[in-house]
Amino acid sequence: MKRREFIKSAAVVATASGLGLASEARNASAAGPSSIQTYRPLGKTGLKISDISFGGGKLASSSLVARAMDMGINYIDTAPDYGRSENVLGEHIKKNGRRDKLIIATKFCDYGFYGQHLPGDQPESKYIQMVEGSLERLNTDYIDVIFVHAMGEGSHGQEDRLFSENMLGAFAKLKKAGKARFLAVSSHGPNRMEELLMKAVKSGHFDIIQPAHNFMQFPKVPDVIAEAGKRGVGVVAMKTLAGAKATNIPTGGEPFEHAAFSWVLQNPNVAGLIVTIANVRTLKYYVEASGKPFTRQSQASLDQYMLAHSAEYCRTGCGECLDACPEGVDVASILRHQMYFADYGQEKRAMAAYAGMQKKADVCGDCEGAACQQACPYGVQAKRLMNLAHQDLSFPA
Amino acid sequence: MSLSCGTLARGGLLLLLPLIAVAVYLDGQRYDPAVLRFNPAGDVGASALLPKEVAGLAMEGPARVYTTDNLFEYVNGHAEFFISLGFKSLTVAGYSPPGEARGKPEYTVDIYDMAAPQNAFGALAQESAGMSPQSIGTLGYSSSRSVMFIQGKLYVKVDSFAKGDRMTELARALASTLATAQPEGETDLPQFAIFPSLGAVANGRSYKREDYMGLEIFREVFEQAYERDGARFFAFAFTPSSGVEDFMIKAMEAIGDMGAEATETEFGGSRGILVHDEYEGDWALASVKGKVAGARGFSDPALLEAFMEELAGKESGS
Repeated sequence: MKRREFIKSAAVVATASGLGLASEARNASAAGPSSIQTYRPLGKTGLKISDISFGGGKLASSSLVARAMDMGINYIDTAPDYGRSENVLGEHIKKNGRRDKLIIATKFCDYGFYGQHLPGDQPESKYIQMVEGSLERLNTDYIDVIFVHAMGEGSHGQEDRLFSENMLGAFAKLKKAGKARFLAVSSHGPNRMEELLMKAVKSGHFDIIQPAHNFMQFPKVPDVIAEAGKRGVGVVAMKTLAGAKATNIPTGGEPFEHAAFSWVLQNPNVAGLIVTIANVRTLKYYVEASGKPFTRQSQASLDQYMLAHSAEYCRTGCGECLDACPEGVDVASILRHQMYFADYGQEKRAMAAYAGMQKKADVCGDCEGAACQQACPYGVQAKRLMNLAHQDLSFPA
Repeated sequence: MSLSCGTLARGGLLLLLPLIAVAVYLDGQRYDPAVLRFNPAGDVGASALLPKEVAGLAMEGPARVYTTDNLFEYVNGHAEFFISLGFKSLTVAGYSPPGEARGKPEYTVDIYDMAAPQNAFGALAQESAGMSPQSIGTLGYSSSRSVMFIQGKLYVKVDSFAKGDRMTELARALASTLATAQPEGETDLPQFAIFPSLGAVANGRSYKREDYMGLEIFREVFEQAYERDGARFFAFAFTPSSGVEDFMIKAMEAIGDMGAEATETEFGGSRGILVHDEYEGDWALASVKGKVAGARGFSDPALLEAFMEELAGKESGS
């Protein structure tokens, strides 16, 4: 077949460029059902964000950002330690402009692989240097939201990082220079998430919080969100899919992801949520959830998920089993290390952490009472999971 | 009765003999992986390539070498994976800041000799899932506690259980050392041989495991950057698991689903697809020698078509 004897397989989508928020949404509507339907105020910042927003942790294609913007997404979360995420977003800005139509959130951390969060003892200049690096990679002269990221993760999570005088001083200088607009704090646990975020909300230093928030984990997060609402602190939710262990389970009704999103967004104090978007298919699929109410069908879908995974899913942040074990085994921490091993792909980190624990799960095999299992309000089969954890996390003898 | 000095000395030595024997015995019982696991065949793996000091760190203890016979001792449950890919030997060394050696190195370096660059790439491609690309070695990736890269036939992993703040620096220094130590001609990846050499950017190679150009069906893609007459563009290639013909049909559907315009055509006599994509620009695909090869990033569609003709007509390895 010759080049010009072609078969057209699809129509070109409507062109969009240089539009404001309202016209972004209008344009997105023109593209069909895959468009953002709802924008909500982000605390007292004066910003309104799309209820379904862009998690840029796996951002590999600048064209995906342009597509997302044309569907109405106006908030994107990136970080210097999300690989080339900032560079790719910068490519998009250089190529497409429309900087003022995109709210960019990034982090106080070093460039490179994940886990480069700045500790609390850094000089003011270090924080500023980090942001200058982000500005360069992003091809922009200002950042909308700067996060103190991942409070409560690993050895981090102390108040000295949250309330570092140098960090606060650096942010004030960046804001005065017009290089940063709002200060935020995020946590996906597993340690002290609610406590640290509540302190952040009450401190008055932060404009936005970003908690891990879903229908299965962190039962005290709604209290923090309510407090944030009272004080005008904006809330962006993350980790809304509760691990997304298996999303192909038959729900017989509403798709699981849409139900999980609408569960989070039914809280009026949550402005929006970020979810990792890596390709066109997931972009369209997630955006279809925008504006959907939480219904009985949504609950049924979540119930199906719970039924499939509840007994094997230790709720990070729960802690009901902490004092239950007569052998003094820290069940919650071991299952958290197992989560890093099995779900996060951080095997060696998890094994090293487990190796450093005084009491290990080797005693669980002979345990008859399984007091931890009795104490669990969610019916997690802790004994079986502890045996599995010991098997996975132990270094070969 | 009196004893001579010589008799006293001989007696003293005799008394010391049991003590020396006990000391030798106890030392022999001390766990030393370098002794216990050293390959009896005498293969020193990549030991000779490892510097004693690098990136401000010093090697802690001797390097250990594993072969197909005992790899399971180090990567229990994962040995078959490496062996099936062509694994030859593994050299393991520890590095710590000078004077801080405590028997538990701050960094561990694993160097897998995979016998050929494509085998090393196979290991990297499997093990780097979810990691971020880094400009280290021929291809490199990293996560919070690991940096991995390939350099010729070697697949190298640097891990840290501690802060890991010098991990990338250590990996880069090792990559540089290993690059100069390998024979010429043993460093290239055959996957890149499909691309024309004219204008190929020296450090412009990359590998995208998934979602290339935001398309879910574009997986395990090799990309080569080009600069010609001041213009920068990219060529890419991959081998679809379902076969090229089947993939071309699926590609037409996927391109349509993403809202772009796809045109069936020919390049160099091979089946091709020309795409007009509002977001990605004009790009193209063709069936080339059992692979799917393509190009993107052109501002002039005529130049794209000309390059595709060149790509489809290129003899492998030329």
